[in-house]
Amino acid sequence: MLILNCPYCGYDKDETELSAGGEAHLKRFGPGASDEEFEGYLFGRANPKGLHFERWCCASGCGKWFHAARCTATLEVFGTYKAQTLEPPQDIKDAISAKRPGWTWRDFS
Amino acid sequence: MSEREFQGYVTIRQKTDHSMFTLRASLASSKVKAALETCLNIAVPQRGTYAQTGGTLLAWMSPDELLIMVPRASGGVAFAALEQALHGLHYLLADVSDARSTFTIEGGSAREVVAKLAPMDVLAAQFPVGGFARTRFAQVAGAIFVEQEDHLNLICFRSVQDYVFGILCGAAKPGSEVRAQS
Repeated sequence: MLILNCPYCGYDKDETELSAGGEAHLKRFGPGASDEEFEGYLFGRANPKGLHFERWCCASGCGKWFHAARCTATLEVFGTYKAQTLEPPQDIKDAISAKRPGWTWRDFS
Repeated sequence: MSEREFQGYVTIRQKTDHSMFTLRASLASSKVKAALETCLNIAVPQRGTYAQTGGTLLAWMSPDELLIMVPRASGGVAFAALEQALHGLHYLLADVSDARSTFTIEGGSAREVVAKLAPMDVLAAQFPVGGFARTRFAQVAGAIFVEQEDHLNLICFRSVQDYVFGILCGAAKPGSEVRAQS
């Protein structure tokens, strides 16, 4: 069972109160983009065994979307943070570095 | 709306004596806060809590949503006063009195009855008196707040009120106590 702390309402939310929103930090490619870019935006998803960044919605709570950094293999949660950001905040990165030294995920490290 | 009551090892009662409004506006805005405080005479509550003065209640639903409860008799007047107070600001105010139902759960084991139905931590350490949270009760969404240690209030959508009343009665059934009563 996954328990994530919603950074908006501050409550620990059980997995059954949340909606999963897939991979976080996607960059949208819309009109004017090449076919490859658009295809990548629509279908290209990482599916790592290990560290992953995901979007979650506090569906049975405050209704806000937030981001979570967690490990898909151990279900360990490194932290959650608000969605109004283009990359994970430093404290989240530090928390991951403490447990997974030398980690990389897409362009982040 | 129906008044009904169930006497289990806690008392479940449906409350119908209030009007309920939803306000969407930025709670970080000092203008919105000032307008609400002037109109309702209650400070906008911190996240995860509610504030109550007399019969008026203000609850934190999300960073941009408040729930306002006023006595039913003064509902129309209060709604008009709020609209006037917020005039010119970016907001949305809706009367949702007929869309929601409220239940009170009273008794020494009120928290235990709620804990049977909701995945959230409703123990006093995590959810003290004055706390307000939105969560899930069995299969439906709802909100819960702690008025007193032995008095919790539950809000759900009216369309599922019979279901919620049913599961509350089931959870409060005499003989289904999880812990020995103190």
